[in-house]
Amino acid sequence: MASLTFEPVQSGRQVASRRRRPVSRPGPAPRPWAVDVAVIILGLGLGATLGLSVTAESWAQLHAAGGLAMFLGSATGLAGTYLALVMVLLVSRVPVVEHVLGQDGLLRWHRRLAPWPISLIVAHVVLLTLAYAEAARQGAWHEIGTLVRSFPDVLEATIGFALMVSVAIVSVRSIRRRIRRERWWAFHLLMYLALALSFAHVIVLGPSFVGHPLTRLVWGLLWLSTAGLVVTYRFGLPIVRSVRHRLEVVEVRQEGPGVVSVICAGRRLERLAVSGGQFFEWRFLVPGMWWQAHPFSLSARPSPPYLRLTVKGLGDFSAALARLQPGTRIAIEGPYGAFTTHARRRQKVALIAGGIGVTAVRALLEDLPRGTDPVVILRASSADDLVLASEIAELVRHRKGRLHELVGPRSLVRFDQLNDLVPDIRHRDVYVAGSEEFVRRIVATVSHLGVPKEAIHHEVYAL
Amino acid sequence: MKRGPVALASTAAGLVAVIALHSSPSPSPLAGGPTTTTSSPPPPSSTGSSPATTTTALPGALLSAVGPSEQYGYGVISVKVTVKGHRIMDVTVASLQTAESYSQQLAQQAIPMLQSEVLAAQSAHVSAISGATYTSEAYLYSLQSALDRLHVS
Repeated sequence: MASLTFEPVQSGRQVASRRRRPVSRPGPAPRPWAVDVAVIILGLGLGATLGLSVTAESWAQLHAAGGLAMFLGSATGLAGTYLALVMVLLVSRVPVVEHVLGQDGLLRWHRRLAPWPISLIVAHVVLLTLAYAEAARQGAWHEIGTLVRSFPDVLEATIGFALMVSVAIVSVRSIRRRIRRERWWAFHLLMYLALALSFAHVIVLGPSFVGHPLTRLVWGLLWLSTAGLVVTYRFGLPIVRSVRHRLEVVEVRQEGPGVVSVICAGRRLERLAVSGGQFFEWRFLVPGMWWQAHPFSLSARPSPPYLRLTVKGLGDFSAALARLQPGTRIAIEGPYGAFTTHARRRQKVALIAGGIGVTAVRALLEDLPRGTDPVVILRASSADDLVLASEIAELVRHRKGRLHELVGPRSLVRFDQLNDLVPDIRHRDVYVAGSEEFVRRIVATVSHLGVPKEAIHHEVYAL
Repeated sequence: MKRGPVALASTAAGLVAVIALHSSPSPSPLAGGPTTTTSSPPPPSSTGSSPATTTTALPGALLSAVGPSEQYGYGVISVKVTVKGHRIMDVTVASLQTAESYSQQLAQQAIPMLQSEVLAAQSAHVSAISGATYTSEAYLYSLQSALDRLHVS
């Protein structure tokens, strides 16, 4: 497979002979039961949280002025905060969860869950303001001042609430689309600050915590360990990996119209466990780029001391990649993603790539064991856009598979011919990578052809 | 394994577990939240929500009266005072009910301070405890009414 290496053309490094070259470590197999356990624990926690708000309440309080609103206000606040904790956990990059659900799976859950905590917390604020106003026989407007001024930690919580609402507003899909992805992403990290600011008022004022040292302790530990996971896996591990591997750009190579491969070199890459089809968040440490990290798939398994990523230059960032100078330092986060051979449920596979989705398929092919009889379908609007196709052809040949290239304008290429190209597609695992629209259409088509949901794996490329 | 139903089932289990644990026979002294607190030693006088005992006993006898229940925003409080002649011997809380736990805790912190201030000043004209202004005002108002009933200035 000599032609499949992607070593830099004009590298000054003396590369050891092929025989002694270290090989990269395969990524660990996912452990789905760990996620099942996590789901059970989180469910129990939600139930317990709801239970706590019920048991903290007495009949006398419920019947006092504003009592019902007071109870509902505390219950919604507690449930909302708990769900916010689950959202934080979903994006904490804990490897065990990451390997099973993949980052797009986790982000989907993160997004699906998002409306709940914010609605519950808004209800909490409104209900408690009304409840206290009723109890104090005051107007609600006046009561806001009293609550903020005279109750401990409510001022901080109010600032936190304002931040939460601002983040929620800019995250509404129609508004979010108008904001640059990197800006939105950086702004929405303020949620961490918002949650930290509102932590104190919960345990100082919450009816489930006042005079209940045990629940206070448990709640405190819960948040402390969540913060620990975030600091470890979202910030700590990427820093450790970036320092350990010291990646830098060696060569930027033109692959096709607007498509470049960046070849990087690093130390001890044989210790970096990666599965083909996974991606990293890349941060190129040059002025104007260092503050934003972008997800790009490896377009080949690591070949120590080299890594390769291949990017289509549509966004500003991807276009700037083409101008990267050799020697540019790179920080990485990852590898992430469950678009790997571990996700396979059946013996045989079909790999379908649209456009730049070919990168993940290219790397995944390398990991496929014998006997998977891969059928690879590449989709591009012109022959020039079929990047990495020769590498794919070679890999397919080695695995005694088949390769189909569907080239032409979208109107001429019909997906319902999938069944002709892969007659036994129903009995295969189907891997789909490409734009959101492409993935959506292929998933719909293959579901229609009878491929069950658990045998369809996809990776979406946002450009 | 379908994760949705699992999450729902475990949520229900967690809810039931906490409620069952809470309503089990030995409740901790901290559980239960705000309740009504009543003064401890029942002096030889009438108790009850409002009527005061005004006896024509000899000077030097212990007299007590319970002030009216004062609503103060975060709860209801009523104060019982015991006097000997014109001297305030004791002030206790006859009843206290609050809307939520935090106010209860606040009141319970403020009440001993108010009690010692009143005993020291020998009148209801003491300043409110900072951080518990409403509670203090209601406490002192109820106390003043009780003193009025006993014709103690």
